[in-house]
Amino acid sequence: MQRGYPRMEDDMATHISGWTLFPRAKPKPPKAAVSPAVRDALDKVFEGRVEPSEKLREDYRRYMDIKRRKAA
Amino acid sequence: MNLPLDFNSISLRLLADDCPLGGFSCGEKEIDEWVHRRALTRHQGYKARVKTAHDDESGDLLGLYSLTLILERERELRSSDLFKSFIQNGYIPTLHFEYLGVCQTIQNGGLGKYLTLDAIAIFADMAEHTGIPLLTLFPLTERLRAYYGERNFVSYGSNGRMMMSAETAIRLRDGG
Repeated sequence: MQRGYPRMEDDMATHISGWTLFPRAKPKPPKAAVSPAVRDALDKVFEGRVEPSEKLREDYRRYMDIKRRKAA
Repeated sequence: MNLPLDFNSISLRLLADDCPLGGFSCGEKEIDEWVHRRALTRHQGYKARVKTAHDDESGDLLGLYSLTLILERERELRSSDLFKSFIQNGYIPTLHFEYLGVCQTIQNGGLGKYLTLDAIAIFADMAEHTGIPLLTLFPLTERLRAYYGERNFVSYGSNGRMMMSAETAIRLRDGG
């Protein structure tokens, strides 16, 4: 408060002759919104109940087929 | 589109000192620069471990990937019993799938998938033996983000990374 003095504009209050008297805290950037789908997916990960997707299983089957072929 | 590769003539091994890294090009500037300038020193210094794929006959380098351990901020994740025992001073260790590159001339032949699954298989083994809870990665493009999203990687936090849980990798490996 600047009792007894004329009220200064914000910029004048914080910068006089190049000195910062009352540095203002920078506003924090807003947190990125998490979509419900992502939130649900994260919940599943955190609860340890994510079934491998069919695409991942298919990739893994091919990977193991190749490994077995090479080992034979 | 290239033909599917003959995986019978491709071998994976840990990066060797005499690996011909200089001629490698996957077309992604960041990855190529890393391969040419940093891959060997990081591998030799155990700051990351690099695995390479070679043609058995010619010895040509066809592709490679690297894994490393990073500390992820707890606040990027959500508090969970899954990780509680790992959190130290606000950080949690994760296995990070750092770089993956496939030689331009053989892209779309399946080697990228093969290398990715090799990394996931290593993660599953590590998770079983050490309990490390997450595999993380940072997709360089939105197309890759969608690709990994279809394969159980979930976007999290504000840093653009994605993660897969140890449970998923172990279930995948064990057929559960």
